Amino acid sequence: MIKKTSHSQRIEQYRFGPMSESERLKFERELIENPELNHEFQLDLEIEESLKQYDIIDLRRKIFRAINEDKAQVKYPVNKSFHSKWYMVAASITFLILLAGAIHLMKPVKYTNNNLFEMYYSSENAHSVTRSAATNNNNEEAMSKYREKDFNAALVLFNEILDKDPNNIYIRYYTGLASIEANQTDKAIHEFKFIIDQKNNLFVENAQWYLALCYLKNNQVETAKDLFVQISNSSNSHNQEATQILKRITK
Amino acid sequence: MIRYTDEAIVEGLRLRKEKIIKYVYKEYFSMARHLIVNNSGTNQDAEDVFQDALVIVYKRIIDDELSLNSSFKTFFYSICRNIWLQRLGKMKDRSNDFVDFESITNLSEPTNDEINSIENKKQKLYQIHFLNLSEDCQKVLQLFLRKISLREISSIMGYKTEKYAKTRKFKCKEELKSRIINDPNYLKIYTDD
Repeated sequence: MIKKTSHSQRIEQYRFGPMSESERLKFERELIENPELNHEFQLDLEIEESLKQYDIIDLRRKIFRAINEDKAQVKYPVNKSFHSKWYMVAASITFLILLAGAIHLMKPVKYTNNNLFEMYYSSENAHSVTRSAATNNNNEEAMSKYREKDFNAALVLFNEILDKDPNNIYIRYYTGLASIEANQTDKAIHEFKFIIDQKNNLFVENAQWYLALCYLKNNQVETAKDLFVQISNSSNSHNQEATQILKRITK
Repeated sequence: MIRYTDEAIVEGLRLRKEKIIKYVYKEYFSMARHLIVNNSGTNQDAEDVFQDALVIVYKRIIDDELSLNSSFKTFFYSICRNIWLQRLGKMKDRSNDFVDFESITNLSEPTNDEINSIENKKQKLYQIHFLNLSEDCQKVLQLFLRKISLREISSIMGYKTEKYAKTRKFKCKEELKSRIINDPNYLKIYTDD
């Protein structure tokens, strides 16, 4: 038997409104007295917390893709009976229905540049400084500010590090990301261009992707499109997203 | 195929670069599967252990707790091996029965907490079910968690009204909760809790 949630509506109203003050008090009393409600409430909170681990979810998604891609490459023999007349008729009807649905759904949806940026930009998890990245206290403090999402403070510290070590690609990369978060798109563009110009480093692909998104956010649409085309036609790990976004960019 | 150095693999994993994840899968999954299938496991177990091992490695990298004193291959094998041993509950009494296929390093042993904590098990369960939702649902829920306003969510997702965005978000979360509570592993985790 399929189990169902029974308090979702009220939990949703309590957490995100609307709910009157008296109802809220009643709900809070019940939360203490009703273990089933309490359990479902906790589940609600736990799920949300786990979904905020954007980086782990992204990692899991990519692992699944690697596994599934590998499975898809296994060729299974085609069963010739599949091609029987009735299967062909059924397939044709299904195709026509799908085609009709697709035509109906093909009404163009317009996206603003900012909408597209929001759709495709996802903030990077804060990382600790690598062994190879000239570890020192300043780096740690700067990354710590980044982790705490205090991006302006992180930028001040990143700039201090870059004054002494301007070729530190790792810090350049996070300066770019922090600049996006602090709405300093021009600075972010400067950093990502620097990384790309250096070539042959592990950050180039991501820098290209973020640079294109920054151009989009800055309404430099043609420059963004050129870069998305370049990403789309390359082995960049963002090539599929770049292909999608190109279809959505308003002409 | 391009060969990556161990350092490039670690940096690539830190950035969650898809080509590195695929590379690690192509290079090391068969090793993990061989180990697990030859020690009472299935292909599905191998995929599960591979995923858990990579998440543990990633967490160690971003927490700056990874020190490679052996090759990445040996390190990764040891992580998979220890996860599987712990899962089999053989760590103490039956480790002598265990058949190894690669050299191992003691330095990479994942803690019991990394593998078996209720917290981690729950998070994994929730995240896997989340990834099985439709792309539309995943996007709505993530936008909402990022505190994007319902107005903006409607605009981004192409919904006509904010009310619909709210309803959609609620239904997606309901779908997710329903899948979770109907997963036999959910009950098992809570029984263990």
